[in-house]
Amino acid sequence: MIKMLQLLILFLLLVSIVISLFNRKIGYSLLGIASALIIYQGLHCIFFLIAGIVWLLSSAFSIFYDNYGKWLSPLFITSILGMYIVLISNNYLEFLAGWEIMSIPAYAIIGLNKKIDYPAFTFMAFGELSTVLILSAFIYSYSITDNIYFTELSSPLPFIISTFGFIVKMGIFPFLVMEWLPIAHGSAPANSSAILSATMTLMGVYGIIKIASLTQRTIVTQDFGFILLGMGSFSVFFGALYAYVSEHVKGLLAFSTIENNGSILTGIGVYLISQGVLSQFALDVTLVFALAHSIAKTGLFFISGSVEGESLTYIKIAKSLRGKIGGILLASSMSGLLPNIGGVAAWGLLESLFMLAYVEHSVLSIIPIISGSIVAMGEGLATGALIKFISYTQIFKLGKTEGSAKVSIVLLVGIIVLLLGSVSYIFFRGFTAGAPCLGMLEGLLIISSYGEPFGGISPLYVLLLLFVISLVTFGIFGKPKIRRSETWNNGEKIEDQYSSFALANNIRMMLSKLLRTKILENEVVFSADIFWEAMYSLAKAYKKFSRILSTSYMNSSLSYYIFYMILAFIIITLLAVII
Amino acid sequence: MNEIIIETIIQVLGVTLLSPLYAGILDKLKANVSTRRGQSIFQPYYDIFKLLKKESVVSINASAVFIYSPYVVFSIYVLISFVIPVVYPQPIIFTPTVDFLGGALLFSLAAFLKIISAMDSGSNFVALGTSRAISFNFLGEATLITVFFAVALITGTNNPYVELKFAENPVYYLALDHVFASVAFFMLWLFETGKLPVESSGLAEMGMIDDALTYEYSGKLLALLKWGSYMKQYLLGSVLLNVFILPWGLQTGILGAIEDLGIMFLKWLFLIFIAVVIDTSLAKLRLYKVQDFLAVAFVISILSLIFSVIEYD
Amino acid sequence: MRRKIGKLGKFCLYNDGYVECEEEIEKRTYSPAYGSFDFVYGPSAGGLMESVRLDIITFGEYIRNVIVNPYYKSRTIKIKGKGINDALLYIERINAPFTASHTIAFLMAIEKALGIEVPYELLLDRIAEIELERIRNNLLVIERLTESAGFQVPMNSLLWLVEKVNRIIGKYFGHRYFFGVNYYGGINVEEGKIKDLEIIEKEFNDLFNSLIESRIFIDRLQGNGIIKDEESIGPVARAANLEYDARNEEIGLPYKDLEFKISTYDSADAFGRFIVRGKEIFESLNMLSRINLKKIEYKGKLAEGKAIGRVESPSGDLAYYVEVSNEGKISEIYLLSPSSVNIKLFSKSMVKNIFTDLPFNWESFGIWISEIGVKFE
Repeated sequence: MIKMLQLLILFLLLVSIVISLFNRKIGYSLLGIASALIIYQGLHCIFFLIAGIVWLLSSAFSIFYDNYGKWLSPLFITSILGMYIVLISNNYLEFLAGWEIMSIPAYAIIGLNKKIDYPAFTFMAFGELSTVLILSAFIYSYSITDNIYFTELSSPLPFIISTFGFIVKMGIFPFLVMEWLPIAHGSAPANSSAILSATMTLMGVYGIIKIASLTQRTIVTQDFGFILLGMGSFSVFFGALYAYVSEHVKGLLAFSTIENNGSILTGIGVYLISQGVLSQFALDVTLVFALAHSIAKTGLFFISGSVEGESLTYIKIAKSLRGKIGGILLASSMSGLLPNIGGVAAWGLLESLFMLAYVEHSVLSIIPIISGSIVAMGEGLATGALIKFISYTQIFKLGKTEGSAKVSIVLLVGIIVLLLGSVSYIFFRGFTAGAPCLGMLEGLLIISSYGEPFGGISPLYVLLLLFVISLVTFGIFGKPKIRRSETWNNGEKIEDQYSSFALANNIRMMLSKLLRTKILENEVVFSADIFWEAMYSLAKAYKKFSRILSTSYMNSSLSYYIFYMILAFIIITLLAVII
Repeated sequence: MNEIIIETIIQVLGVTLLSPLYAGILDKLKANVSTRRGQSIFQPYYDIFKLLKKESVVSINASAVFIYSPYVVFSIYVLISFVIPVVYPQPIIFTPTVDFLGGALLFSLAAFLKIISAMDSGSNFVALGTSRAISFNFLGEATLITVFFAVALITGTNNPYVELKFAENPVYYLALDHVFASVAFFMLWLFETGKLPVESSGLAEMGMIDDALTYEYSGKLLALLKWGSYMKQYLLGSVLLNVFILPWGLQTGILGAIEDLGIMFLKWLFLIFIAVVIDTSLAKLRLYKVQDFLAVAFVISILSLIFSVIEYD
Repeated sequence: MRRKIGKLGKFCLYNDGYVECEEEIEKRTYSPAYGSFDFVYGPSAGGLMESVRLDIITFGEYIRNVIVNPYYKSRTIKIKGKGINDALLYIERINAPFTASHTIAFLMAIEKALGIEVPYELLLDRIAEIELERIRNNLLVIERLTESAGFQVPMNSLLWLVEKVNRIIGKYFGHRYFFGVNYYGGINVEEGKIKDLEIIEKEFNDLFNSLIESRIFIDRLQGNGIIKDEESIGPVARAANLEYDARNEEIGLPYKDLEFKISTYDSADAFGRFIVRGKEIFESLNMLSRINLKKIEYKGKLAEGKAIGRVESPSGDLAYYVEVSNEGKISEIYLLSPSSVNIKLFSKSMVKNIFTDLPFNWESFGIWISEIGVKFE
């Protein structure tokens, strides 16, 4: 039955690729149908659910959005096909094939969209680094198990190597560049950015958890968990910091993805370190976090697709109440605020770190403590980043008032994010409870637990109580009598609005050491990603290397690049046929 | 069941109705110390009633978000008064809705909504204040969460009611981790409620942080936001008193709940006394020094965590 | 040592004379930069006492440039063709906090133009007026600084001190803002030594010392609004260790006999100006204790003439250029107000500071907008 469904979906995806070459609207519609089926499949596995929802929303959005060349829609759908193959694969080869089918169209989208080669090349170089790491992990596990199918692994080595591969793809510290470069510099279209940012990194999470579930827990995996905890929390902090100071509409969101991927990795860290109930709780939290992030981020990228221009300070926007409410819901969920699903996820993550610190109760506790504090700082910065984003795309900036179908999709995503919070109980099986004597119905309380109950929240109660109390408040105080007037600006008309650059400038100045801010007469210079700058200057210092690179690889524009893609594609198709 | 309903009503009404009084007493004492006679301690009530009757001037850029968020912000504070021990020392109805950390997320939600709805007015002064508020947020939030970490490490739960019981015990009360967590939380309270040395309310626009968020509001909407911030001050202050500084003395039972209102009043006089001393003897910090202030609070809270690990190791 | 004071009508005024000179229009430009915008503060703002518009060019919190527009409060005053005592009624209402400085500078110009010998005691009375005005103004400036810092206790105490000084002025001169005190031909004053000055000295001494000890308060002033400019005047110059003070120069007032000592500081920032103003309060109190107020009259005369009268107002040199016709009517009049000089210095000094420094720096200059936008007709 499941097999039939999978074949049907694969068939639909392939057909939609072909059709999209001729008519992209029909192609996207077919993709939508396929995604709906994937959501149905997702009732058994959360990854299908997350991916299906994102793809369904993206296809709906793309129908109204795609005004790029003919090439976008087939590449877009091919990439999704690759991800689907990753999700349904049950052996290493299929997984790798899917991985490349997912990656190569993404390189192409970025390469074709903008005539600057270097984002696409960098993206590809790091993407292939990721593939190489995963491939070598798989070859190693094949050599020890003699089996290409996913089976139990006695050595933690394949897990560790492949995890690094996945981490590169997720843009985790110090590989932040992998996430922001294609989106900000490559200026990927909004729908592609959404799947790059929301689902392609989700595949990384899937890969890590998949291989982790095969690997036997030892002291090594536990120690590795601590490393992931550290890397995750640093990614949270730096992702959020760079998002905060970023001026690029989509770049900001890309950095925010890094921040979220960091949180997810931190969750995986707790999952690896702890045992029993806490480990299970951390896994549930990780999955909910992935869900919350993917969907809210998709919605936010849709908003970024409805503005003209790229820099937040100078973009032209169209505002509408639908867009505002949708945007506020998405931004609040992304900031980890209840009663949205993002709030449940943020709560769960911090709670698991608290519990880990308590359970360990030794000097080792300092690691989750420090990670937790860094995560908390990151969350604060992320809230600022999202307030900035939503203010300059919907709330604050002056613009024409106009609603469109695209905006309705944003509102829809916002409502989904809100409602998912209230049904998040289904993701925490075995962690629900109630307290009837205190008015809490059985099953409507999510309990964090390390064996003993630790804390608890009830997102549905938060939503309902807020709704009811707000109604009562409104009933008591009544509607305000409103008189409209110009915005007060010292008695003068507003000529210049507070710029988005200025809104974030405090942090540039306060954290000037970290961001290496220099204020010149006509410019504020600051670092957009210190790790990438370090890598880049290292590469530049390495003159010989750079000369080889420039003569043989980078300088020859698109021909080598397309050659590489065709070659890779043939190999993968061959692989797929053999399997 | 009936008993718990009455206790719930006492706590929630106690928070909602009495919170402006504490702000009034604080203002009155501050005026007295600085050689003025000062206004009546009931002035916040007069202000609220006056504002409730007035019309609201709304900027032409503002949408329904601007107009209706104050109701939600107010409701968030009412909701929080169900979940933390701010009058009555035992869980009441709906208390399990969120734990300590969840409560912190609700405070953040209120702050988030306040900022977003203020920004909806399109005023540059609001943007100025927002820019400051959100840039200090990362240290504020981190301190809040590390303080809760400390609570979690001490008690093994994320439940403020358990922490209250723990703190009543002198061994835990005097432990270094508890003391440090208390200091950090107190500094945070000063920051969150816009007190010196972080902020002072006045006429000058250039120094605004939190004041900027109500800059464009008037009439009924301003009344709701003001009342909301009185409640916020009361809620955070009472957590500080009941969980950290003065955990003793709260009674149980219906009669106890009524007595608790009086006991809380006495505890608050103590807190107000400290606040007056600080508010009248310090000047406002330079903007970027606020960061240092918060960083100190943050470091203290981390120290408290490390002490708690060492102590019970 | 020759120093330039400023533009007085068509003249450039120096401490030792004046020459006709062209208006040098200083256009402060700023080039557009990414993310930078114009943040408008004023003309109608809670933090500003008078209507003035500040266009702050900023990257966000960081000030690239400030352009001050003081002409929201501009007045055209009809003086030409009026008699001297009639004109005085307008002059003393140009800027009430500086009324003594304005009227005395104006009268000194008239008296010099007409070649009138003014009795010594009357000159001492005039010094008493200007110094009382200085004490009040400096107290007010320091109060505004503490207000910006939200420093409740000293703020209210200083306001109370200002009130006490006002009462003293009212008691001895009949009007708290010196309206109707100076006239062509004499002065209205209660004779005798001014009492209660010791109380003010003692109270201010306590306040001043406690303010200097407040680390947070000082921190708001130190390094804020640094300006060391050869063309600066008043406390701004003296805070930058430039010994510019009309009281040290030959302006026609016998400060030397009162053993006037100039107060300077070397930090050139808002803190320096705060210290200089504080020290000047003590210096003024010291000089006042040597003065015995006397009601004196002199005889006016009808003549033609032109001259400049200059005094050291609380914020720096204040000068009038007056031409008097045969019938004893004013035929030409120019004003050099200290605020018009200080406002340029202010906007120079604000560059590279941040927004929250602005109120402190602004108040430290002691600028009064009302005396800038004045045109005579």
